[in-house]
Amino acid sequence: MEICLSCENLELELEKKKILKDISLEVRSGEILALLGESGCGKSSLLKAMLGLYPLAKGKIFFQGKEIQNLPSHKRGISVVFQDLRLFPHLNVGENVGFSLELQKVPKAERKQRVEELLKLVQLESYSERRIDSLSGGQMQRVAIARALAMNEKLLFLDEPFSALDPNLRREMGDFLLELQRKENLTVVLVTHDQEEALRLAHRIALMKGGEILQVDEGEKLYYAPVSEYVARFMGKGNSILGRVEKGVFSCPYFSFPVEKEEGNYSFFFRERQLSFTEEIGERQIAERQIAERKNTEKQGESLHEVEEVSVATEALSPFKLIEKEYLGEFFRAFYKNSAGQVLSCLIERGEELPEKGFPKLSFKEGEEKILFFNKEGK
Amino acid sequence: MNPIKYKGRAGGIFYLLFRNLFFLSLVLPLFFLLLFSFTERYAWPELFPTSFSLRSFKSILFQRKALFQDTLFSMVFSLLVSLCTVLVAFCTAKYQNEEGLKGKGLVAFLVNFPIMIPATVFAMGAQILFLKIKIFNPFLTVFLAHVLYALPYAVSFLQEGMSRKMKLYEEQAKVMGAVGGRLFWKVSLPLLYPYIFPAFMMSYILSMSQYILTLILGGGKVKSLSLIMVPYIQSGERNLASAYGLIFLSSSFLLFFLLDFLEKGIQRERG
Repeated sequence: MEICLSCENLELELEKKKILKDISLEVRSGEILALLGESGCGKSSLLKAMLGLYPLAKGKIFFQGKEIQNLPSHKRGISVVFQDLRLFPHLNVGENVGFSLELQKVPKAERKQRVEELLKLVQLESYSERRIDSLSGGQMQRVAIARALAMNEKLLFLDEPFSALDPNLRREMGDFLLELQRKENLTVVLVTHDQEEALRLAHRIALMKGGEILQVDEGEKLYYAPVSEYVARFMGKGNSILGRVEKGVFSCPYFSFPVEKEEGNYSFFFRERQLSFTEEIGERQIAERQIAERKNTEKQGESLHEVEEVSVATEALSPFKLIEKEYLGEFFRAFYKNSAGQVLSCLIERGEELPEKGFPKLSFKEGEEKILFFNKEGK
Repeated sequence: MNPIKYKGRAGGIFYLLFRNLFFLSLVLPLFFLLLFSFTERYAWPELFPTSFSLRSFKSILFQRKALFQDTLFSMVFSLLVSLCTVLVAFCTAKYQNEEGLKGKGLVAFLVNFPIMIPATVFAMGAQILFLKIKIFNPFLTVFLAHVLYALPYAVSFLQEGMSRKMKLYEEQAKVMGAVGGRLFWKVSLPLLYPYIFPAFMMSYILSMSQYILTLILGGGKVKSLSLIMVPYIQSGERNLASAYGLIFLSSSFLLFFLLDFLEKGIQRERG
């Protein structure tokens, strides 16, 4: 696939603080790439650095194979919609949209026609004479996008464009963006801190933290095959259980299965929808309980410490009780807890049976979802 | 209105009272100024003036040609002072709003210094400074002193304008291809106009009403409207002093309407 924009080893310093650390990234033509991360991780700074609004300490930027980091912003072939839109208040809608056309000395008649076409594209025909302050949030968004499209550039940057909108309008604008991107075959870099928005809109996601890119991948891979526990937790809720790998088998109080990992202690992370609860005790638990009971019998009268160890082991094998339910529309999030204090959550579809007590059971779609392991460093 | 009957609207009554008193405090002085400029004789213990005439206006406009010329000169001089003040204030405010530049605190202190000390002290200090740096021309020294005195006000207006998202709009415009003069004309100036307008007006009024600075630094050679008016006020020629007061006000209103007309013209041209 053709590469539209690429960055190599970008570093950015602002007020003696390193904002971007050795960033390398490729944006493919015709895709929506989301820059995702928590506030302050450097997403907007990366965008502005690629635009040329911040001077780079190090690194190169290529647009369609040409080096552009020394070019001024308006010669880089990129248009942008900032988070605060920045629609000029002294100009009306038509003048805002046609601003770049006027700078390019496009004749007035042609400019007017192009403005009308763009307003039609964003479903704002006949809004040309309206004042900016008379528009709603969604309308202003669309005017800002139309203004960016008027620049006729191949690459569009959107810096948290929907953050100021209510959830319904965000969804609507997201759908609008998808439709527009398909129609015009745009290449879009979208900055967002909302992982759901990124998963829904983007072909690929670059997850950032502390000025670095942790993982660049399709949304599904980030969700089910994250490279670290941070990525896993950022992309969505899940559960983690401590266990150990010995002789190619991962074991924890509730599950065990073969795995190709080095021996050691691991935190097993899995998604809520991969977990369910059943009243039937699992084979693993039966086996563990038998071992525990045998040990208990053998160790009667021996040291208190060893007796306590056996008690803890038995508690871990106790059934989980339902402690809380969260209503999520079509789903419930159910929280279960056992007497060892282990809390697990799962998603239950509305209408499905929700057992009050039960034992955890895992299920994975064959070939699609991954089992995740992390050592004590979270990687 | 019975305050007891409209108990819930006591706040509204208070507001109406305050608003009307405020309005009267603006209109009444203007009314008396107008009345006294046409009054020939208004002696104690008469309740109303006893005779009226146009002598004061005729005197200014037709009989004392030099006075008319001095008034005109004063207006043009103050206009030029305002223009220069706004230009300098623009540069200063731009500097103050840029990130990463040093010495902003010092610049702010120096800009505001003329209004932190008594006007006579400033005038004497300016006189000595200009003599030391060999600026002897009275018009130039008065001009520079007026600019320095009006600068803090103009800077505060423009700084307020520039701090309000100006940089963000300029950034957006730069990305779209507006640089240099085009950026200034199409984005910065229109956005700043609501702040340039009062900065200009304030500088004009300050310059027009300067007495001490003009007297000390001008040495009597620079005849501003204030210098002409004060002797009449002191001598008791109330009608002539009031007439000059009206001319002073009229010139300010005229400038206001001219600037408003100019702004609308620019908007029409742009549209």
